[in-house]
Amino acid sequence: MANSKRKLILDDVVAKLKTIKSPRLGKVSTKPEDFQRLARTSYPFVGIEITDETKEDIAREWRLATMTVDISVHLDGKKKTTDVQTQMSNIIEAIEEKLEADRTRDKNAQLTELVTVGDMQETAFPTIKQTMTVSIQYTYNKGNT
Amino acid sequence: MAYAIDEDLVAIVPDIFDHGVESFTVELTRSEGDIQRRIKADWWSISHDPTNFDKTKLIASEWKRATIYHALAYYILPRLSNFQADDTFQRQMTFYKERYHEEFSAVLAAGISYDLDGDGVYESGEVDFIKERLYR
Repeated sequence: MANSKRKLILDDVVAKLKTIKSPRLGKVSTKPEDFQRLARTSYPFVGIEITDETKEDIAREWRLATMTVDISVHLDGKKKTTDVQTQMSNIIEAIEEKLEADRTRDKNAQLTELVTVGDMQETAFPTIKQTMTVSIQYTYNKGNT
Repeated sequence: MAYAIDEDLVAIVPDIFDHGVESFTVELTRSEGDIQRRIKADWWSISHDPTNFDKTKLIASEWKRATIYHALAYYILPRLSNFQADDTFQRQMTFYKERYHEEFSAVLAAGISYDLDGDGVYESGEVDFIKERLYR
């Protein structure tokens, strides 16, 4: 059975982010992680999660889906030092550039659009986290999501 | 020829490259050197002049598993570990350290090959058997 469009799109996001060599990224994953058990080398950790998906009919056999994807970057540490802020902004910039390079997600989507870049936050893990929200639109025919 | 490469690691720990590291060649090379040093100290130097030890006369494939276990226990897993309580990598370090010592002893017991005359053939006289278990 062929992979669904949404899986192909998500796989493409992961694959493209994994090609970023500079600045260095650690683990790129769509799975929820237990931060206490993550390897040190997994940082900067990039978590990718579909947070919302809306669908509408655009023809009898065709649907338009809009997927909202949160891409969260976690740096190992407790404080937002200047170095951490610089490192984070370099990573956010690299991710944005990589996503923009092919907005069709390897011909599986109509559009990829960076919607927001959130504030840098200190988390309880402890990590410094910043989340980019990306909207991806794609069409599919009946039943083949 | 390297004793072990990244693909050999995957055969033992399939998810070893899921932690943001692309290659463990440096760690494997370090372990290879450590193992050659131990072979020299624990085997060769017992009955030979230590200065005459030539690591190229060993058979790389004989030491593949020992190299992998050593690299995991002493270099790779410590690099991954966050050294917090209940850290899975620390438990794995202990496990692979034991496997390494077992494997090293097993290779010695099964016969360590050393091409003494350098003719590329490992004759029966060039395979030495050591039965005692060496632990360090």
